Amino acid sequence: MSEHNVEQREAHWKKTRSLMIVNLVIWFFFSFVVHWFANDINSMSFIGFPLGYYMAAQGSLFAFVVQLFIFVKMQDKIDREFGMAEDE
Amino acid sequence: MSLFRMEGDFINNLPKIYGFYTGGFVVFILLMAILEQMGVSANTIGILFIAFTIGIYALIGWMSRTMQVEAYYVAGREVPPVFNGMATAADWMSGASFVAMAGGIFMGGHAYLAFVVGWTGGYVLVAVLMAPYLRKFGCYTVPDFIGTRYGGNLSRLCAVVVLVVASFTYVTAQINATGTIASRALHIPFEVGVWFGLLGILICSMLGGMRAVTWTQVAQYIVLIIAYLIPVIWMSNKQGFGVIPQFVYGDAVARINDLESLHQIGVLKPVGEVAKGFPGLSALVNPHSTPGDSALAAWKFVTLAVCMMLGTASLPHILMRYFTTPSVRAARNSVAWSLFFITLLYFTAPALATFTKLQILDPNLATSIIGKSISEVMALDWIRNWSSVGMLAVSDTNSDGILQINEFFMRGDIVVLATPEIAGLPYVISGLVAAGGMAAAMSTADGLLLAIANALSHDLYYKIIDPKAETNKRLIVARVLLIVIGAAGAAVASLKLTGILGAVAWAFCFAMSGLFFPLVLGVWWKRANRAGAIAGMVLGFGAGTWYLYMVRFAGMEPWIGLDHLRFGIIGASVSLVAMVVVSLATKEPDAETQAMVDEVRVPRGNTILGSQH
Repeated sequence: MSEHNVEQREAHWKKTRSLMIVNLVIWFFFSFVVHWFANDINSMSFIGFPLGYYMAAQGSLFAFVVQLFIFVKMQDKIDREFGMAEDE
Repeated sequence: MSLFRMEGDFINNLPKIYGFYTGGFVVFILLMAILEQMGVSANTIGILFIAFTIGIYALIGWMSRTMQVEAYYVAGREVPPVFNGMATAADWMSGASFVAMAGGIFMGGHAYLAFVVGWTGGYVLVAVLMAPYLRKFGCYTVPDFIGTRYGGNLSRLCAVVVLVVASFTYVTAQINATGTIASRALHIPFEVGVWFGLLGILICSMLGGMRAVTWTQVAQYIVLIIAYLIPVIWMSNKQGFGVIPQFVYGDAVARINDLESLHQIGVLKPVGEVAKGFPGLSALVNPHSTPGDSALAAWKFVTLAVCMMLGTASLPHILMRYFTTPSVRAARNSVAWSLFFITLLYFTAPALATFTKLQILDPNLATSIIGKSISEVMALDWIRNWSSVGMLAVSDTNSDGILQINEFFMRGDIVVLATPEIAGLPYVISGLVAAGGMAAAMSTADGLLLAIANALSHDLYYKIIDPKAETNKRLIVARVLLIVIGAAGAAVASLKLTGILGAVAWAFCFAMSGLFFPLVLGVWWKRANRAGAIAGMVLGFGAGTWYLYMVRFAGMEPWIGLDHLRFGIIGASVSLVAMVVVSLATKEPDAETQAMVDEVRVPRGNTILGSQH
């Protein structure tokens, strides 16, 4: 029912899964780790902001946006590598 | 007029069409500003703003009417990523985001920023775990995925129930918000405003389903983002923070830190019985940028963020937006654009809260009120306007004739709506903000109503009750359901049961309790089977609901700070354990299902469910 053999599929999925895990680790860091220590890093200053406040109000948000655009590129590369990307 | 009929041309011309639209809206704002200078009353300008924008949405809704299943359910699967990103952003940013978020930050300080982090970070989960795979599946609704992946009517029905409960909780809050804004702008009673709001919402969605909702949501995003950014930029200019204030308000945050000790914020608390005299209003007691230093404060921050994120990735009205893109790649891309457009508003909300707070607190600014004499403060227009509608109150508790921080009470919601008045901006800005709030609430309500009605018409009626129904009949049933559910939502909203935000957080917790793990594991764990998914949905949703009931209504002490806003943590944990245990205890899915999961993981090739299914 498919044009791809089992090894190809498995290799593709393995890489996709690794990319997923890397992305979730980054996500976890900017979602929880930095905010857990908000009080400690608030004494540091970033472009005039207390760092803990900055990360919750802007920093994490930017990290997520940048992360997603990079994710899109990388997943697309994986799909192409195994001939599994859609036709343009 | 023919633009919306000739599909190919319409899609290719999207940037031009919405470019003209944006230009037209800016011209309209300028026209209103001129009318204001010529002495047209504030009321008239407010009415014109609401009428003009709703008129445009209605026009788009009418031009997008359709009798095709694929167009009605998934907008013909031809929405380009950037535009789907805008539509999702409007779908996503509710009346609560637009109206209440800055106010929440104003009142709650750092702790409230957990909503900002949660409502953006959730999109990482959507992009990485969900959206591309659901798009490859080719489903029309979220229960469509559950029902096909796990098989059987019972699993489909469980998903429908969770979807309806979560989305209905959410939609009443949105209709409530449209009612509030309409009643203020048009000077009609709230109960009438609610039905007026519903009428506007239905005009956008009824004739064209997902296609109409998509193109109105893009239009609504443009209105709401302009309406949110202009007042902030204007105000920051007045305070000398430049034209891109979001990056340079660090000094304002630091200044508020100093002012907090000056005004003894957090030290002076309102005297008990005084606060009780103003239900729904509160005095400012939380520091702006300093989180509580206990581990509990950090725990509360991350648990709230978890709930909002997992909820984001389970809410069907968001997931179904990614069914409308032309390809799997486009679906992924579109999630990134959605988050970009959402971030534009979300990173502005804390800036707005900061500027507004500075306006009120800083004795060097003419607009400040804390530390001024009570009689002087009571003479201000905006104080009079908002206290007359019960959203603000001043009480000289210690009878010294000077306003202290613990003598000033307000509803957080008014920060966005009242800021233009506080800063002394012309009324045209207030009208614009009202139109923006209306756009935010309407677009979210449309997405939610459509999610509910589509699940009931496609999954319950067509897939379970009458699989032989003809296309015309299906689409008529879908529309009747839309009206019935909308009316039910408006009826509940007019009862004013909860504040806007309580109900919104509940919707996220309901969705994550029942749907998060069945959706994720459906793609990422081949071994997950029907019995496991049903156990995950029923037990997760049941446990979450039970916990909510116990904590909120039966007086149970919350476990380790997991209050009624965070009950999804309980629900989703139970859901995960139940799903894994039951799946492993029962037979693995058949070869056909496993092959289907393999197929979902490959972007190339046909969707699992054919079109016209």
